[in-house]
Amino acid sequence: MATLILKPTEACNAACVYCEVDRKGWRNARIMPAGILERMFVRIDEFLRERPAEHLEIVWHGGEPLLLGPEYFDKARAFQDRHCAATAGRIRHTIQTNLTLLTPAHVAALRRLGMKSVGTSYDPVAGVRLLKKGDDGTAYNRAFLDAVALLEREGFRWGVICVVTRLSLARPLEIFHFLTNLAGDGGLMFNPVNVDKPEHDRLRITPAEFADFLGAIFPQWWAHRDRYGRVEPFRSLIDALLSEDQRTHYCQDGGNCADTHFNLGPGGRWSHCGRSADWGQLDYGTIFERSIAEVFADARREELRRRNEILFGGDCRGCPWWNVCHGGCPLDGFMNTGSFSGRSLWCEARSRLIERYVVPVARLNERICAPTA
Amino acid sequence: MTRLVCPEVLIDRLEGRSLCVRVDSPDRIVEAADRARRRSPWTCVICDSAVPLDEINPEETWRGIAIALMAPSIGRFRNLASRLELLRGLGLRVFLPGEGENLAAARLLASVGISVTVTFDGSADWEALADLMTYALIGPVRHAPVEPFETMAACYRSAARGEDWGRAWFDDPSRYLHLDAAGRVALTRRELLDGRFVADGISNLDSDEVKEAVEARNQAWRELFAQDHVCARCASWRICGARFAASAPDGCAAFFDETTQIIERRRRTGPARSWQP
Repeated sequence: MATLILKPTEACNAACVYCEVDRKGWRNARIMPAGILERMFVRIDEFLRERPAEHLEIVWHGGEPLLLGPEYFDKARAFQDRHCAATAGRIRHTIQTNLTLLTPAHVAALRRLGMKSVGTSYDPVAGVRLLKKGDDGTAYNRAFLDAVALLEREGFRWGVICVVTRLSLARPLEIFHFLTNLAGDGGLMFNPVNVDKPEHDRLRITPAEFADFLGAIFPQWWAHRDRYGRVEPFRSLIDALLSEDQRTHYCQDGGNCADTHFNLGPGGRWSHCGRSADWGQLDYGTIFERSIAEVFADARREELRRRNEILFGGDCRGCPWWNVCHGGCPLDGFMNTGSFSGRSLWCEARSRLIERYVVPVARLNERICAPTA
Repeated sequence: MTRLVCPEVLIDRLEGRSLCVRVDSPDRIVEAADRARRRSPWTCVICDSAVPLDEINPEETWRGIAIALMAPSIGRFRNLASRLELLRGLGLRVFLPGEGENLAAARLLASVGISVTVTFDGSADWEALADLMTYALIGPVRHAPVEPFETMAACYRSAARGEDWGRAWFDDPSRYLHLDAAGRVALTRRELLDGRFVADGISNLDSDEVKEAVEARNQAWRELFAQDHVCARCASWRICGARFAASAPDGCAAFFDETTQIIERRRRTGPARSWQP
């Protein structure tokens, strides 16, 4: 399965305290013109025709994709119908949205694109999720909670990402229960905040703090894991620890994103993924110059492909948890070391979580599979 | 179909509706049931008794009538002993306030095959209730159902939001609406007693107003998340659904956590086998 992280806009209606949108001046950023959107489906059809066994997931991302309005999604559907008549069955749409702009018309448009579930993000911590800088977050929370109610009325499922900041650290279990109570059968994933500006230092957490935050939740999840929907990183951690199959479910840990992920920005530039596009890295040219096959064949992906080999024999040599993270996200590795072949800063969080919490609590010692290159 | 909990005086005006007719004396049970059955597809009788169960004389004519008998207590068990056979053979469920000796009495009734429901609010003796709940759900001796615990177990969902178990107390607006003698409509018995109505007459029973009020009540739990209420962050929310949020109860979380674990244990191991020496 190939995954296209589609950023039809980098603008966002929200002002979450840790987000880069404001900092990068994207609030009024442009929307991908119809010509580029149409071209994208031409490229997708071409790619899928060349690879009859391939499937493609389009992740509508941003910025905030609901800013586009329902008509934009309908336009996408029309382009898909026009250009992907023979390949549409192998295209799947998903979306990552803050939901605060959701309307019934959006829901209908998403349904017409074949979506039945929505990915969102939420942090039940005061002063983090805001619609306007300096507000108290009430408006954001209301809009979000109304939106999930709407989704459920419309028969959509939804899962949520929670970004762990310093403001979250004091109450891991409360946050866990809040989100699993609210989401019902939906999935939940905890991600650490990435802070690269001094003014956001009050939000910064260390890998050890992230591990301890998760470690405070893990015993509850493990003891009662049947009660909750999919909770990450726990589920995939356990699967990866107990399985020789190196596939993991999330791009940052699979060690294979060189062959699975690509990104298209609002101006029609290809990049490797959403993060590389945000950080101005791994630019693969424009949609008018290069096909998707050419994007996957770009020479710069070679470094990403060699990354596993380099890390397995280098920085990660002998690490018993290699199967779990494969050195983590290459972009995190780049941020940590200046090289895409560097190890992620968050490796320390993984190993601490596993060694201090997961293995002892779940008593996995004798069942863990040996690392394989 | 929504069932209407109504006084006898409304029976004739509610033809074709599913009714739970409320009477204030055991003497009224048979007549109320007869009248309601002639007009309603589904009927039960709720009898509010001011006297303990041992002072009520059940009658053969009660057979075939679904009766919710709300008594303040069971009185003296020895006075009931001669009526047990009849009580067991009736479609009777005894409702008791879940406090003091009633908790032991509920177990006693269940143990002799009489269905029982205990009612409680946020000020309950959670420790004592936990004992009764454990007996009800995994007690290894044969007994009649003890509610609301059986309904809690049926409504609980793994990895999903559960259903409202308030139906065991006729307290679930999506299943039961409560009418006073004037035909005014309330969402719960408590709200009826407090004079909080969502419609002012029978003619408005099917109105959008009522439907919207029911829907709003069904979604009211979401407000707790907007308020960041302590119940929204509680490990036991999945089973209690914040039923007692308004009364700021103390100790309910531990009770519902234990209940959840007992339900999960019962699902894993199946119903308890009857113990025998």
